[in-house]
Amino acid sequence: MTRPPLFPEALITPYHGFAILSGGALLVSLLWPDSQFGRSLFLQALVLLQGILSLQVGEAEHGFGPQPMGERLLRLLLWDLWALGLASPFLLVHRAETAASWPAVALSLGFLFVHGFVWSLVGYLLPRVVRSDGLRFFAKYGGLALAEFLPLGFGLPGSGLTVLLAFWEGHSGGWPGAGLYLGLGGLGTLWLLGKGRRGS
Amino acid sequence: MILLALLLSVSGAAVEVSWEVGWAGQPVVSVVNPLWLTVSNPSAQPFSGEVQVRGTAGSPWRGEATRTASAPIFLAPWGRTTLVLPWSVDPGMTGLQVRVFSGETEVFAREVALRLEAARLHGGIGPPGMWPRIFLSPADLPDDPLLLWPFSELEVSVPLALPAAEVVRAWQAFLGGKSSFGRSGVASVQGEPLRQRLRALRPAPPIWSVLVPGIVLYLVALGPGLGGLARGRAGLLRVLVALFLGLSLCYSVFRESAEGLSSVSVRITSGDVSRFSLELVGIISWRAGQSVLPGWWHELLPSRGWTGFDLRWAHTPDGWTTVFSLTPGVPRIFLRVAPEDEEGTGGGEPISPPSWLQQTLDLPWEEAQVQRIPPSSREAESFHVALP
Repeated sequence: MTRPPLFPEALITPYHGFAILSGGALLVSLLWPDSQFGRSLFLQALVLLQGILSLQVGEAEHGFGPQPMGERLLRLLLWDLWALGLASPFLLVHRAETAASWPAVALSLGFLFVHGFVWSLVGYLLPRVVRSDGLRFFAKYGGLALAEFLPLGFGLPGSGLTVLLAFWEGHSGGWPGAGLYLGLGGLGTLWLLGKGRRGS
Repeated sequence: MILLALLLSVSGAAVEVSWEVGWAGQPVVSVVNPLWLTVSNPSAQPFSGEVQVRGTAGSPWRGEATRTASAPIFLAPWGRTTLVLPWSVDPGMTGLQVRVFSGETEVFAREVALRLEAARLHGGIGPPGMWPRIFLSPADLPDDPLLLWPFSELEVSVPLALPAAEVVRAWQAFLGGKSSFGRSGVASVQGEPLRQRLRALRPAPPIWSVLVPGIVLYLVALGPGLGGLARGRAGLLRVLVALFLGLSLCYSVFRESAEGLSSVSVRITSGDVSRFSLELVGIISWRAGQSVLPGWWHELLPSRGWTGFDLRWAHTPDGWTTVFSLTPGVPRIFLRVAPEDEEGTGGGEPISPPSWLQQTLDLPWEEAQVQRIPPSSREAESFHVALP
């Protein structure tokens, strides 16, 4: 069993791309003529970009073959934290320009951490279920798009877009969606740990 | 029965309320209508409490906004009082809720159905004539010209005393009224151009000279940082992220002191009217909060998206106040016909009217003189439009 690298070179571009697009989204949101739309634009772009990055991170982690599950879990959490760290300066600037409260920023960061972890788990598990690369591509990004946009049409709480916006604006409407992501993250963690014990 | 009557009189719970909304009971939509509330105290005890009127405008697809007016009432034994409230009737407001409180206790509650008139009314001041229109006696004329807004036309067939004539002239000069009494002025007020203007006003724009170089430098430096991380050296990336987190934190804290509120105010005066002026105020905030305007103000609502556009008029010892919440980035626009300030607003700089102002106010611009008034501390822009 070879130890996977601390940070695979294949993820440099996705992480750098995530940071560049997040920075671009921040500038566009600040320049947007309708300030109300600009206010939500950056947050929504950030949720989608983070989801895409997390899927790629999870898939890359799966590519390293069998590893101790506890270690794998820690690596997924660490990479999620790196992504959040890269985007945090932009979030702080956005806070200044939208006058969001500090508790709102803390809650938003917490939610983004859970959101990223859940999607990296999805990215990690998907290659086990869908073997075909082409089908997996559609399942990965189609699933993300469905999960983020479909609840909006039905007024359901599961979309990360609405949860982050609600936390940012200090509304309580984000909690059901955050609870859903927390539950999924917790279940995924238990599953990974349980699988590790059975494997050992 | 005697015990019940005694209980009611001791608790002060027995009040009777009757009401009428709109001239001749015909409330006109999208304007301010008079609301007469008569509160009677049929008991032997004096009554002290508060009367509250609440209406909901809009619909689920347009969004709903509530309007609430509250005023204290004091009634002697067997006393009666009539309040005339200016009441904004907006589309979708099909009913009002009238409640009277004695302390925390609700002593009266009733729903009032409204049948809204889409078109403004035709009326006359003087003895009733042949036409099926609403006739007012000079004594019926209100002190506030806004209450005449439901009329599009008034036929004046009797001489009016000076205060009443001023009210009619103000209605004609500022609220699109037509009569044989003076000249017409502002035909209509459109909220949308002012709303667009407000959205373009940022209280303090981002510090671009810091932001843009900072973001570019950060993104460029991330390249070697991420490369180093892939080679097992996380130090550079850690330093980079920590450095830029610290800088963005400083930026965030520094910007907290920036002003969060912008407003545009426009005052319109007319040479025909000496006692009143039309005031238009638009406010936009970058922070959630509540704001209060002294006086009674009517809100110009946008075409849709009314959720959060709630409004409360409260009667205080200093008179009416208009209390409303501010959602970040959402402009709110109010107007009123105010008693003219005798000091006036001299010292303004004459300018040609900006295009958004011309689109907001439908008036004879070729005759109007526009001045930009030096704004007070919290205002972004202030204008005075003088009609001949």
